[in-house]
Amino acid sequence: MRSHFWDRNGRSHLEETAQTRLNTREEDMTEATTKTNDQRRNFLKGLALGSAAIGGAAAGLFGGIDVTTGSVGVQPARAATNIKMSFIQWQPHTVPAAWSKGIEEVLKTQQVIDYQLLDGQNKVEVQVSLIETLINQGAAAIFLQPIDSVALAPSIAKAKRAGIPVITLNIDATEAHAAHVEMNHYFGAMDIAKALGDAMGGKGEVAILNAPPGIIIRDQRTNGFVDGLKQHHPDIKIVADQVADWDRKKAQDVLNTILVANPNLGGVYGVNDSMALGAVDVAKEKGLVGKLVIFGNDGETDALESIAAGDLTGTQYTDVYQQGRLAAAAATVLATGLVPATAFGQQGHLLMPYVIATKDTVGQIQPSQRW
Amino acid sequence: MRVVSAGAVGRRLVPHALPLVILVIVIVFSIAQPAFIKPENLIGIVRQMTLVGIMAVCTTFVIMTGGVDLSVGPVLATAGLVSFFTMQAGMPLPIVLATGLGLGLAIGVVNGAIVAFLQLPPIIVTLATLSMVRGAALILGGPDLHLIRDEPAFTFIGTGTLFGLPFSIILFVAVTLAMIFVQRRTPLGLLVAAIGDNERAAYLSGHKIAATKVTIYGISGLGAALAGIVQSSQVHTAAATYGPFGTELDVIAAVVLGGTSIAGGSGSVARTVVGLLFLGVVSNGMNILNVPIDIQLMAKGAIIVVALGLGELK
Repeated sequence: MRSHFWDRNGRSHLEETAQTRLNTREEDMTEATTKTNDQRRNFLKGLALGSAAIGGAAAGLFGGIDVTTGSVGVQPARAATNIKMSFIQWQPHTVPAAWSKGIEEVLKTQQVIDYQLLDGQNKVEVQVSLIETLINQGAAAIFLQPIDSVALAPSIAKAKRAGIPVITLNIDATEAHAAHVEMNHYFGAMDIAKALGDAMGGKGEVAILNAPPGIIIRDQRTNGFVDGLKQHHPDIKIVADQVADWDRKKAQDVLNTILVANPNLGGVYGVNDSMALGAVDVAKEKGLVGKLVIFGNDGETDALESIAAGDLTGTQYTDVYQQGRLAAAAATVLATGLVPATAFGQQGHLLMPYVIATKDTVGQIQPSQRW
Repeated sequence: MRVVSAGAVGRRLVPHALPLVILVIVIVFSIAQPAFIKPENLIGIVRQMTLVGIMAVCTTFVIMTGGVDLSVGPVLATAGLVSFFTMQAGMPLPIVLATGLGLGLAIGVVNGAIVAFLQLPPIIVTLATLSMVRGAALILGGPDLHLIRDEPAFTFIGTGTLFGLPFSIILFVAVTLAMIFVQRRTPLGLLVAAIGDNERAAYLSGHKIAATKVTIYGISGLGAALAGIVQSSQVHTAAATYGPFGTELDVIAAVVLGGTSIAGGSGSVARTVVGLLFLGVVSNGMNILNVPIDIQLMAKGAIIVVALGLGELK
């Protein structure tokens, strides 16, 4: 089967070229078995676009690309129009910057895709209006790092109705969408708990420097750690679990306070690397380097350097460039395969592979993988 | 023995309601967790106050005139970034500090000039600078964390110790004493209260309203820049997103909690310090008792309302 043109409902609205393609498909069908055809037909029927209007829009969008060869120029009038994909980030930060770099690496080689990075300015309403704009512009796919899993659900639903696949990065949304690509928060945190417990000799007291509530990755990273300790090191006790707002300075203050009440503290788990590095600052100041086992989560360059220097004990490292590339690959397959958002019965999930980086393993992480 | 009526004692105590509440809270926390009263924890409390403290003390005058400075967060970030880049360019420490602080001062002066000469509402003006300065910081710093390495002199500002005390505390105390001096012993202090009380009357009395406003917004910007330098020194990093949305509210909360009227007029730098101490003691105590965050948020709010309510009892 050569052609993958699925806009069956839009047949009467489609232009001549599309009609020709459908005819070609009909001819091709004779080659396949009837059973497969029926299955495929039913499948396609299920996937078919809901309204003629959307079908028309999609035809307009993708009409310029020969999906079989991927080349541009089937219809000269539309050849100049590339399809558009955008990434709406939370706010400028190392992680979304690295995602964007990974996404761009994949998309720019496609030639027919225009990519842009948009900034949510740390405000839900900005992300909402950006999605609105992208829907109106007829984006082919939207990458999203949602600020709020619930508040952005209606926007995602709207994009879905317009046939635009939304791919979320790291933070899931309550509205099912095309796919979600995330760092392996829960299972990674379980492995952190195991490694931290091993380094502490399986006993002692641990403090958690936590993120503020209201965001799902806080729960995943904390619950994974707590469950991991229960499973691998039941003798280790969590004596403090305090919020330090993802922030290195706050982490210093909070850990200083925790240490006053718990002078025998043996380990610290920072829910992100910034907070873990704040703990390292405190350990250095109090001469506790080597005595205090400190683990972070993320794997940013500063943390990896700190591990190599012997200050930070370890962290969960994820190649976020790769995360961006995988999201971009998924989006490209969906868009050039003309798979509309309405086709998804269930949301796809992709958990990133990770490394628990410690002094022994940190050297494996290549310079080009550091972010 | 003279019998003193409860009412008379109460009237005497009212101006000191907040310090008394702090005392009560300290006693309660110390009983619940004896480690709370250890000297190292008390030093820790003051140290945790320094960033917001420097900004709050420096912005007290602005609030006393009935104004507000919302731009402190981005100014903090920008000062850290500018210091980082001047350091990278190989400049000596005095120039690094002068550039960072000068930038904060300049932004503050611009704020003050717009408020004074164009007569625009301070909340709008500083909201606009908040946005512009954050944008400039992002252009300057991008999304990255800029690591400050091998700069012992710069690192000393935030992490060094002098006479057994963290240097950041000494800096905070020095700034506070300087501001108290300005308020009590210079004409500027009087003028600030006069403007807040009745700007028109102060103007008709022949005072230089515009110059005063430019000065106090300048001081506020300077304070934010100093806080930014201390923070970058403490976390060995400079980033454009430091001083996130909400920083300005922490600062205003400390000033207003101390008893400075948000409408202008009454207030003092010393009271701001009391407000800071109150917030610092409460949040440190919650951390040391390992109170879960949800309970913490509720308890903090309740304590603030009770403390302010007691202060209003006549």
